[in-house]
Amino acid sequence: MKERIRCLLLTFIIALVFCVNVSATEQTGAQLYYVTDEAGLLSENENMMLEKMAETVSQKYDIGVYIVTVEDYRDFHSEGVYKATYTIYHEYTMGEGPDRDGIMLLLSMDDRDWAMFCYGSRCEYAFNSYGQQKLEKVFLDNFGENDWYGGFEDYIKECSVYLEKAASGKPVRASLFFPILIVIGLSLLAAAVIVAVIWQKMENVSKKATANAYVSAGLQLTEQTDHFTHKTTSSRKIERSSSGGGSSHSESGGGGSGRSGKF
Amino acid sequence: MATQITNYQCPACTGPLHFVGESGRLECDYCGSSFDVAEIEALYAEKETKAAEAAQKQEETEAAQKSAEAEKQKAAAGGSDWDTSGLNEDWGADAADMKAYSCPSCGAELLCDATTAATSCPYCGNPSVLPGQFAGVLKPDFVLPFKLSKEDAIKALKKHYRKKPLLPSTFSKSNHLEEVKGVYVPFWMYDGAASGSVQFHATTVHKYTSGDYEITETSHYDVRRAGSIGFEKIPVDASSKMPDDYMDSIEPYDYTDLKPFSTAYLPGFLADKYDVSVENSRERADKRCAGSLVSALESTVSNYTTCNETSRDICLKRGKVHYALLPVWILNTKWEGKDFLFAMNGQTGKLVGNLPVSTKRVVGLFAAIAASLSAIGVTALLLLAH
Repeated sequence: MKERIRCLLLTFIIALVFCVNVSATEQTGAQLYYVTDEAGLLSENENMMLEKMAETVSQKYDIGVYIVTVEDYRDFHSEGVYKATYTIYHEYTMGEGPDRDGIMLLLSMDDRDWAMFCYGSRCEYAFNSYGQQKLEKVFLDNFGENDWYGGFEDYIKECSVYLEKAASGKPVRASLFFPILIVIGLSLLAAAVIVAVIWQKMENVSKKATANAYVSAGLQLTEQTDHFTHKTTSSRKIERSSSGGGSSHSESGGGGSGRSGKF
Repeated sequence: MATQITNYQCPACTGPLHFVGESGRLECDYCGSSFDVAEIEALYAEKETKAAEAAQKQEETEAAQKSAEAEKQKAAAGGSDWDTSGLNEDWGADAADMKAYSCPSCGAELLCDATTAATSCPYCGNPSVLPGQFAGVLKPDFVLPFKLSKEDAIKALKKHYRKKPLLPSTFSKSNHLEEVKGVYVPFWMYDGAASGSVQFHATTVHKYTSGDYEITETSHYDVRRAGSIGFEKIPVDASSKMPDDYMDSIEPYDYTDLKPFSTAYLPGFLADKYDVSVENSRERADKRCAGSLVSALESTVSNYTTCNETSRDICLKRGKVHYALLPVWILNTKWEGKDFLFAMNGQTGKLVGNLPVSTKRVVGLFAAIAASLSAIGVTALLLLAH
């Protein structure tokens, strides 16, 4: 009897999990779970917890938050990890709502590549290019230390924060204070230069230092020597944009925008 | 004190003649006749000879008459006379700077600057030439006749005001054109050559990246150039009345129109004789010769990122000096109690002169440009952010 009850309970749990997934799939049309760990970076428990978190966030804001790990992104698109990410997104009809809004984070383990793809106007409103750049800082340092679960957890939590802010009409945006100050400063400088040039035209009287107009016999060059004396070398470290444990750059294509790099 | 003065008169109607730049002939305003410069020169050479003979005879007759009249007046004088003892005949230091002439047309006595060589009578308006000013060693070698008229100078001045956003709005409307005068300005013209060498420090810069570093390699060179260059007729104004910078700024002149000097080109214009000597003007010509040689040598230093002169050794070979009168229109205007001077090359029409700047307009223009650029920049930034 006990065994029968256990069997029924197990069937019920499996059916429940299946129902949840089926309902999610039915609701969104997505053919993948929120967390698809093809590279096997997560334990079953970690996978379940992340799946639950991503599902909650996705359904609350009606924008899918996805995680995909693969061994080699080239299995999906040979021309780059970003292209592979949006290929997966579109091939598996990922996204929430009628416009299939969603954000997908892909890790490709062979060469430690990563990419993030943001699709749909509501999603791009929540994650603009500045937001995407800021978001990657949250997880790249974890991935740099092979802390997969920590990185994914931070990613989902941060996505939740972004989506909440977007829902309240105050999406994450770069502060424009300093850029505006720089623009105003440059405008003042340009105006000063233009006015100085115009001012100079008000005064056209000056003593002549040459008599080129009265040259009767052109220059007769009698000596022309160029001696190399020495060489001086200086070096400057190139400042590259980096985020925690990896590097990245912005991308566009696939009907959306995103970022990619190494971790 | 009265000295010889010539009014070129029309042989047809005896009206005053003046030189017209456009036609290059002497024209009469009254009967419209025009005469070639050479024709009038020949006529006046003949007249002057006859006039000299007649003047000598008249002087003798006048002296005899004067002594007879003085005797008569002495005898006829009754009662008191005007006291002229306070009138002073001593001109002091001014005597050296002034000369008096009698206008042959109306007889008025003209007081002129000692350097004035051509003027017009303020009473009858007739153009007068003072040939004595050009006598002997002072006679110019060349004259470059005026090509442009007074109207052209006024037109050029109005054009000069255009497209000047910093010019006070009232300046072009309410400034008063005080005087427009065509002046034959005396110039020394220096022939010569400059030779020498110039040393430069030049560099080339090569940038490349190596790993995380940008490397800048600067190669240094000692560059030496030597050569010579010849000059012909570098003009340096020989009149202390003319500002040097204005005279430099209206250059260059086209010497193909240069004519052997004749006073027949002067009627209708003012003319001065030199009052700055060849020696005192030479320094300006020397500087310009050296400057041109250095500039020409520097132009041969190419394919370098930077090139700076470190030393020079220039030797000048001074040649012949010519004396010429070159045509300049001088325009004086007055605005808000201040005088503004403009000068125009009477041959080419190049006009120079500093204009006043309106502080309000400077601030306004600066603010307008800065505001427009800021608005465009901030809008672009906001669009980019969204």
